[in-house]
Amino acid sequence: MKRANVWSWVIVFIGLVYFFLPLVATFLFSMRAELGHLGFSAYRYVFSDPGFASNFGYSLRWAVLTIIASLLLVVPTVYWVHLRVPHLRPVVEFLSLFPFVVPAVVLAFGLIKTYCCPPFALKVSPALLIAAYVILSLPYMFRSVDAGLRAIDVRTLTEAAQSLGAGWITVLFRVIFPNLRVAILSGVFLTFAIVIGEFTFASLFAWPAFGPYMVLMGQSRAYEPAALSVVSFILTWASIGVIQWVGRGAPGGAQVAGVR
Amino acid sequence: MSASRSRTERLGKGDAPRARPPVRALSWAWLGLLPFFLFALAFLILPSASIVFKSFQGLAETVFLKDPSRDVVDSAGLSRQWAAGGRGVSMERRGGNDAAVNWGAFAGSGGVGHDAEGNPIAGTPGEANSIASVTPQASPTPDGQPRREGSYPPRSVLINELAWSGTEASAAAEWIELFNTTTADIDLAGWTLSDGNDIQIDLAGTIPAGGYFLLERGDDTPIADIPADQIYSGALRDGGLTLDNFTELLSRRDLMRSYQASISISLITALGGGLFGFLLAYAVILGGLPKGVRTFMVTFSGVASNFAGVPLAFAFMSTLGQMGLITRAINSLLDTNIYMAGFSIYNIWGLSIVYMYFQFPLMVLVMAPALDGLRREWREAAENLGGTAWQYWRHVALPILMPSLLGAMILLFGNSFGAYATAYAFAGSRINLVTIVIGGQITGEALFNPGLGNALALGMVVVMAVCMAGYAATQRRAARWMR
Amino acid sequence: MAYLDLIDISKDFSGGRAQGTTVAVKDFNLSIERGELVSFLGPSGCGKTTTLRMVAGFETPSRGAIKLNGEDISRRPPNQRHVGMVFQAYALFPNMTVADNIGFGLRIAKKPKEEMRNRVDEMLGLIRMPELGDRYPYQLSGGQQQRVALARALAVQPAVLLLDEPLSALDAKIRVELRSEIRRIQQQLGITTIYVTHDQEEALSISDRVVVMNAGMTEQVGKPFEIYNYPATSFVASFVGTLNQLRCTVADAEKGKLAYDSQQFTTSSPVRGARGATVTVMLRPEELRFGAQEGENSLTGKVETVTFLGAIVRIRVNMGTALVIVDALNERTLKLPEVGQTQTVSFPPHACWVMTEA
Repeated sequence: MKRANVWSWVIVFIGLVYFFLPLVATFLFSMRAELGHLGFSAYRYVFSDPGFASNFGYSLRWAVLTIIASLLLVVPTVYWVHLRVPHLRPVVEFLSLFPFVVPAVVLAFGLIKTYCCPPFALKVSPALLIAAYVILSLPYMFRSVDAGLRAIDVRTLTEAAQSLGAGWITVLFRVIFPNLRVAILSGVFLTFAIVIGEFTFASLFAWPAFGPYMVLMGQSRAYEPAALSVVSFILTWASIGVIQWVGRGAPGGAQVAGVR
Repeated sequence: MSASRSRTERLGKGDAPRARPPVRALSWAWLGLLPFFLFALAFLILPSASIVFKSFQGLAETVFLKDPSRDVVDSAGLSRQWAAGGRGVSMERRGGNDAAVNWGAFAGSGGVGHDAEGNPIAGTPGEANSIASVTPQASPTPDGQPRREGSYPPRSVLINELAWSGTEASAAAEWIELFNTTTADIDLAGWTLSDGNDIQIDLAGTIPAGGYFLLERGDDTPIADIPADQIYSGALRDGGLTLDNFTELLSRRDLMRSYQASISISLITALGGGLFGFLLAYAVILGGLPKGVRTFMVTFSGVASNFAGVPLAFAFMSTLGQMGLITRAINSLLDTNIYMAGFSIYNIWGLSIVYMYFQFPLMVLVMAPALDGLRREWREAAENLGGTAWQYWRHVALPILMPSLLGAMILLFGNSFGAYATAYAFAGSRINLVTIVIGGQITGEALFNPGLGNALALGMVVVMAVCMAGYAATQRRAARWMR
Repeated sequence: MAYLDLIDISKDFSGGRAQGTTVAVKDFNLSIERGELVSFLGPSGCGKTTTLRMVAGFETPSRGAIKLNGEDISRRPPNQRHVGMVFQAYALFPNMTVADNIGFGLRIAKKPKEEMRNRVDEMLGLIRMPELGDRYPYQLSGGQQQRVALARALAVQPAVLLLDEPLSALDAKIRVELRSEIRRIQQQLGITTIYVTHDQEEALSISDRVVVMNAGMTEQVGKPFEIYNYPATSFVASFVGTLNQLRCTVADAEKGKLAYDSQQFTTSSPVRGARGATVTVMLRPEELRFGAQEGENSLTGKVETVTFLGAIVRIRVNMGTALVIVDALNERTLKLPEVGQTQTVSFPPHACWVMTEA
């Protein structure tokens, strides 16, 4: 339709209002910590709170570990599926969609019941938490890398490289990975955004993280939670922004994300 | 000649898909996926299987024998599992206290009595156990608590034998045998035998020294040819695979209400979010708006759908909470306190408004490619053949979009159904949603029956699996048409 | 008054701040008789599709008018014009069966069920697919889908049929079959048709008249034979068919004598231009023959390539300043020239077609 509809603008306007109102309200709310005038004292409190630095640090740690583990697990797997066992693709794809079938709470329930007691004393190390986060990131990592591989026609590239004399390592590191840069970065940043703000697993597995810290703040302070909310939003926006910027021009679809 | 013939044969099959690799290469290829499969097995399949399996696992129970001063003299089934016995086979005390090692199944020979249908009882009601029990010595109280004045020493009367799964004739024909280990007759008036549930027996009668006391359930028919010393009512719950957890789940009003609440919110946000999200997607992609609007909305949808969880809850508390900006604005502008008027973000409708925040964008993200796939020529062809815009939508566009629309709404439903963090951030475990209840199970708020928790979780998984299956089916439909 | 008149049609597109205004179609004039099949032929971007879409109503002319049977339909919306359109990408509705697709226009017009069914059956018979009514588009081949698209457009008995490069998405063999099918149906129904294509063989083989377009302008309008043999401009000459172009100087304008390098030849009619002026002579490859002939012009050069195309053998001869292409019909006893050998090529005077532009 060439004609710009009035209704289109109306709907977009309503949508924008609905999206921005809570953000504006949160920001304004966070500024009300000082009586009488708007100020950043809530933010000052938050940033100087040692709990903030430590919990955010933990979340960063979890994010990095998750990203590394996820990349190591997913990229070779998807590559292998494309190249050697395409008929197993539906199986792998189904497994990667698990977090959509089994919600986080249920998975946490199952994981704890299975691994809480000896001989699996996995609660001592954060391995279970990282494993859970890897599962959370699976759909997006898988889809990202999968789309990236499809866009570059892995088979043909690999065969071409091999016919020119390249060995496996060369093929992987000189041909495949450079072309997957965009896809991998998209997956990485989305995983980052998910893990930083994650609450369910962190709280149920009793590990320190940014999510539970926010809830704790919410129970004890009035204005600081709003400030944290704004910080979290900026982080999420930045991550998605990087993904969009990195994925400019690359044939990547919009990333779908769900609730945690 | 044969060489060329085999070559022709091979050529004849030439247009078949490339020759199957030899078996060795195939199994080697699978190996490449081993890390992933191991990971999936350990962290996806095993926990899920354990949920499924344990949800069918019934809870056995503990029976306590208390003397008139309310102290526990003996118990059976402390480990919450019947250690031995089964359908028609009794569980006998072999000695010592109520630990699993001290129970055994009826040994097989030397049984006495017959059941209602005349089958021999696999047990020794009223007689010494098939394997002679060891006489217990005086020992500290079962639970380490000091005993009251005038109470009986522990294990002076033993729960000696239990047929918790009845007789061969009927699983409900349960019976219990008590044994007096002391050298004096004991008057059982004031003694109680109970499981904390539906068995509450005030014992009556005398148990002779070194003798037995037989209780039969319901009437005197469980052991037809041996008269019971007392009849009682109530069932001894079996462990093992049962559907009890599910029947209990269905009977628990609070749990059913949690399902109802979760489903309500999910339906509301799936339909509402679906409808408005679709309109938004349409406006942005086909509404003739400048390209920048589309890019912005799609990016923002990515952000908004990821903004769920704790920060979202705080954001809405700042907006529509009791001290929220909108609440206060309405208060000062319209002089009404919406919370007094019954509104709350902590109930279903309020929570739905919050959930919409990540449902709209999800709808936009999912419908955008589908709307992109609506080819311009279809619209032109419809117009060319005389159709108006409305007729085009009614006969062509909406039917084509329907699978994607339905699929997206199913996705929205599942997304909302599985949400936890947002609701928790609002009110902790006080909101009655299925996810919150399950979360409570983990943090220790007991439903007392772990099997019930598993059943609850399984119920969730079933709902989600149905959603995903529906989604996959609609996607296949949509893909087929768009070929 | 012709059946369909396009009068002074122009279309400008404003391409945004960077591009300014693009003129897609400029001063297009055409009168189409009832029952005629006219092709719009030209390279991509020449404006042929834009013009077609203006007739259909999907684009509005910036200037000019479109008259159908005397009525001005320039401002009518596309769903009220009563023209049938067949799209390049078939545009069959994927959610409907073949029968439903064909009957769509009738359904919109609220025709009674009986009439709809009869008409759909009739159309299925016309496109020779009577048993495929219950199939869905994704179950059909490209050629079948295009036939259904054609039937769908014709079912409502439009006044004009418009086809927008209908065969370009199909295999070569199917294209040849289908274009004669389309022509057969068009002649059987006697329906006025505009056919847009960039394939000159298609245009030449099925049209009553051809409009050759380039960069929004009409280069020539005429019967296929005329377009091919008497091209009005050098664009038409080079776009339609293969062409040899020789830059010659006028030796004797009256007698039609021209000089090429050191060689001289004669044309069949006087040439316009002063002595010494440069003219371009166009020669079709199939009118050149090997060896010198009595009474004909001849040129000599060296054979560069010999390509066997099946029915035709194409030889490139290097005349010094130009490569001349000669097409010879294949014969079993044909002796092909060798690469590198000296070869004389001859052509009758009337084979020369002279353009006076430099």
